[in-house]
Amino acid sequence: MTRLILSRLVQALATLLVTSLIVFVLARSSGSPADLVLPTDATPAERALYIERMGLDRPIAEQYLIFLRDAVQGDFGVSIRTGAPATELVFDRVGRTLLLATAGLAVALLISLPLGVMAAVHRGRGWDRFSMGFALLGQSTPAFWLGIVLILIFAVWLRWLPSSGVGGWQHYVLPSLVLGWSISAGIVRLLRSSMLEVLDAEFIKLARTKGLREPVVVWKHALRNALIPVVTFIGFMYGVIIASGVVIEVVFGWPGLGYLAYESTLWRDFPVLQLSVLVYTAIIVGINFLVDVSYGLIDPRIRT
Amino acid sequence: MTLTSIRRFARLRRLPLLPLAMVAATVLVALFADVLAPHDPLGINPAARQMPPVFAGGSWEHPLGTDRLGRDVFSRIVLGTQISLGVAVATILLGGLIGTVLGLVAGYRGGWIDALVMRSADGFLAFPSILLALVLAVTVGPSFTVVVVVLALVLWARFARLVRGEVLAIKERDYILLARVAGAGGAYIVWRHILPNILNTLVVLCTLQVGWAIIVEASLTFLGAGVPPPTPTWGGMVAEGLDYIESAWWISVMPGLAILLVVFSYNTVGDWLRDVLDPQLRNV
Amino acid sequence: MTQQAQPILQVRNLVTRIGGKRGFGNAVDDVSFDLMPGETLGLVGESGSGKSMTCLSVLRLTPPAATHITGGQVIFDGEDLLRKTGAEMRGYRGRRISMILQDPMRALNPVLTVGEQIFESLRLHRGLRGAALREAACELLERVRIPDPAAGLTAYPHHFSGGMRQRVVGAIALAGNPDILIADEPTTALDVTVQAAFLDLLKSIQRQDRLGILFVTHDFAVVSRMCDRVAVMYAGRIVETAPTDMLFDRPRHPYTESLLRSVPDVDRREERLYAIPGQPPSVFAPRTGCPFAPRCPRAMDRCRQETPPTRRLDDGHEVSCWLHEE
Repeated sequence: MTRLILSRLVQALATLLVTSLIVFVLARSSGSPADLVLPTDATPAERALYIERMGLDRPIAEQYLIFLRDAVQGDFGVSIRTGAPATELVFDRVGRTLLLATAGLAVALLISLPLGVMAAVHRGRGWDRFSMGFALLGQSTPAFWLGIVLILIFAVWLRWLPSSGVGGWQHYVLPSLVLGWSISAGIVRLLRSSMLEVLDAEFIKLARTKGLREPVVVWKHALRNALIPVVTFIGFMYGVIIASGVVIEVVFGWPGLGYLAYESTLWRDFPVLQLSVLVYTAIIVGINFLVDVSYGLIDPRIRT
Repeated sequence: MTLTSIRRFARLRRLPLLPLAMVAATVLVALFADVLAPHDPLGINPAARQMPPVFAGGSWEHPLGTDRLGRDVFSRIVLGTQISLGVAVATILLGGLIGTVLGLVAGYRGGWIDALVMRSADGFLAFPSILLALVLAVTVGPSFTVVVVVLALVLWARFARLVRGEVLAIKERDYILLARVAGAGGAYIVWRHILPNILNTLVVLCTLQVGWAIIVEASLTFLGAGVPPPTPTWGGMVAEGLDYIESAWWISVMPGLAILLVVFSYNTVGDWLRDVLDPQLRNV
Repeated sequence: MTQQAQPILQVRNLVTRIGGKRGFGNAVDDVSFDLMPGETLGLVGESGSGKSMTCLSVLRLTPPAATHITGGQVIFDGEDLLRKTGAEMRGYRGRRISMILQDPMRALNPVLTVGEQIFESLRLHRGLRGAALREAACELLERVRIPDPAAGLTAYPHHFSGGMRQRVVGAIALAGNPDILIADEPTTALDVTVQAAFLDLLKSIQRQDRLGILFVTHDFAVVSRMCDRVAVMYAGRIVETAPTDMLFDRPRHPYTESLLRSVPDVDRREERLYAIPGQPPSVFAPRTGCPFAPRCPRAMDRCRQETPPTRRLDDGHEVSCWLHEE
C-alpha cells in the first residue's frame, strides 16, 4: 500500500512537472516571454529588469530552473490586467470552481444512478432503452450550446432562473444540470454493466430467498456491490467535470477559475493563464491520486 | 434488395438506419459542401440581417435564417461540416496511429516500456486539454493545427490504453505462442496475428471518438481557441450569436442543433458497432 | 418420522417452462412429491435434471426473463403458493420456507457484514430491533456453532472459511423459524470433513425444529446419511420415489439402477466405474415417450412412444416406467 501511494505520488508530481515544462516551452516558442508577461506599455527599463530577473539571456535549461525556483516560492508574476499577484487572483477563484463542479457531479449521480440501475433491472426493455438513450443524448449535446439554450428558455423567456453570475441556489441549477448531464453517459453505461453482473450473483438469489422486497434486493444488495468499480470511475469523472467546467463557466458568467483563464486569453494575461493551467492540473492530478489511493477503502475485501 | 427486406435485416441486427443515414450524409455534405450551400457562406448582405428561419416567419430563401451580417445560416452550417469532420478525421488519424503503435509496443514488449507508456497515458488523460488550447491560442495563435494537436494529445492515450489491454489478452493465446515457437519475429507477430484481432475494437473506438472530437473542437472554437473566423465553424457560429440571443436566437441555436444531431448519430452508430463487433468493450 | 401427519408441502404436477434463443422446453416436467414435517426428502439426479429449478419453482424464484411456471400446484400448509400474489409470496420466503444455496463462497453479500445479513431477516420476519436484534443474531450464530458469535456479527463474509460461511447461510435460513428448508447441494463445495460436520449440524437442528428438508444432491453417500426418502429426477421428471433404504436395496427404475451402479463403491473396491451410455436429452429437444428410453438398456417400443404414468408399487416405490405396468 505504501509502495502504491509513493509511486502514485511520484507520478502525480511528474505530471505537474511536465505540465509546467510544456507551459514554459510554449511561452518561449512565440518569441520573447517578455512580450507575453509584461504589459504592452512597459518601459525598456522594466523590460531589462524582467529579462535580468528571469535570466532570459541565459541557457533555456537554466531559465526553467529559475521559473521552478520562483514557482516553489509561490511567485508566478503579476497580472498584466490588474497588476495584482497572479496567485492572489487565481486562488480567489478556485473555491467557486470546485463548488460548481461538485454540484455538477451531484447532478450527474442523481441522473445516472437511477438510470443505470433501472437499465440493468429492466434489461432490453423500455427502461433500458430510455436510460441509454437519455445518457447518450447528454453525451452528444455540446454543453456550451445547451447552456445557451437553457438560458434562453429559463432566464430570457420564462424568467425563472438567473442567466449568469453567482448568488443563491438558483444560480447553480442550470450550470450544474448541463455539467451533470453531459458526463452521465459513461457512469450509466458502467453502472449498467456492473449491475447486470451483480444481479446474476448467488448472493442476490439468497437475498430473494430471505423474502426481502425487490427494491431492497436491488438498491441495497446489488447496488452496493455494483458501485465498487463505478466509484473509482466517478472519482475520475470529478476531474473531468472540473476541466469541462471551463466552457460552462464562460457561458454562465460563473466567476471561477475557468472564466478567469478565459478572460486571461482575451487580455493576453499570460501570468494568470499560466498559473490557472498549473492549478487546474494540480487539482485534477490530486483528485486522481486520492481516487487511486482510496480505492482500497471502498471494498471491504481489500480493506482488511 | 427490396425496402422491406432491408427493414427486416435492420430489425434483425438492430441496425440504426436513421443514424447511419446521418453519418453517410455528413460525409457527403462535407465532401460537396461548396456545391450544396445555396449561398456564399461568407457573403455579407446588410439588407437581409437577422432574418428568422422559415418556421419562425422567415422565407425559404434563407431556410435557417441569417446572422447579424446577413450571412445565410444554412450555408454556413453546411460549410462548417468540413471543419468539424476534418478535425475529427485528422485527430483520429494522428492520435489513433500514435496511440495504437504505442499500445501495441507497450502491450507486446511489457517491462519498462509498458510502464512508461501507460504512466504517460495516465498523465495526458489527466491533463486539462481545453486549458492547453487556451495557452496555445495565446502563445502561437489559434488554428486548425492547434486544435488537432491538442485533441490528439488526449486521444493517443485512450487508444494506447485500450490497445495495450487487448494485446495483453491476445498475447497469451495459443496461436501466438505457436508463432513464437515457429521463430516468428515480434514485429511480424504483431502485424500478422495481433493487429487483425484488434481491428474491430479500433473501428468501434474510432467511431465513438468522432462525436467527442466534434464537441471538443466546437467548444474550443467557441472559446476562441479553435479554428479562427471567418472560416464558418459550428462552435464559432454559436459564439457569434451569443450577443444576439434575445433578438435572433437561431444564430446560436441552429449550429448547435447540427452538432447535436451529428454527434448523436455517430455515438448511436458507435454504440451499435460496439454491440455487434465487440460486446466485451465497455465504457470507452 | 410421523406417518399419520399431513404433509407440510405437496407439489402436484408442477411444470416450469424455460425458453430462450435455443428454443423452449420443460425444465420441470410434471413433478409431484410430498414433504412431511421433520422429514428429509432427497432430490437426486445428474446436473441439469431440473433439481434446482424444482426448488426455485417452489419459492417462485426462477429467473423471470427465461422461465415461467405454467402448471401444477405447490400446496404449502394447505395453500397453493402458485396462486399467491408477489407480496404474499414474499411473506413465505425466509419465514416459512428457507433455502441454502450451493456455493457458500458466493452466497453471502461481500460488502455487507455477516451481522447485517442476519439482522435483515430477523427484522423482517421477527420484527426485532436494537439489543434484542443483536441477541437473537448471536443466538442464531451459536445455534450453527460459530465460535465467538459477537465478533462474527461485525465480520465480513471473506473473514470466514467456506464451512463457516455455509453455517452463516444456515443461520440466515433459520432466522425466520421456517417450516421447510430447501438445501440445494449445500455441501458440494465443501471439503469432506467440513461436509460431515455441516450435515450433523443440519440433522440436529432438524430434530429440534421438526424442520422439513428438501435436500438436493447428486451424492449418494450424502443421501444415505441424510434422507428419509429419495426422489430421483431425470430430464425434468421424477422417475422414482422410495424410502432411502429401499431405493438402495432394490431400485425399480432402470435409470436409478444405472445411477446406483455408477457410484464408486468403497467397500467393494471396484476399480471400474459404470458409466451410463449416451447423454441426457437437452431441455429443448422435443419429447415423445419416456425421456430415458434412448439410454435405457431395457427400453421397449412402447417406451419410445408413450410417456409412462407414475405408479405406486406394493413395496412403497413410486415408479414411472412401463416395466412396472402389469
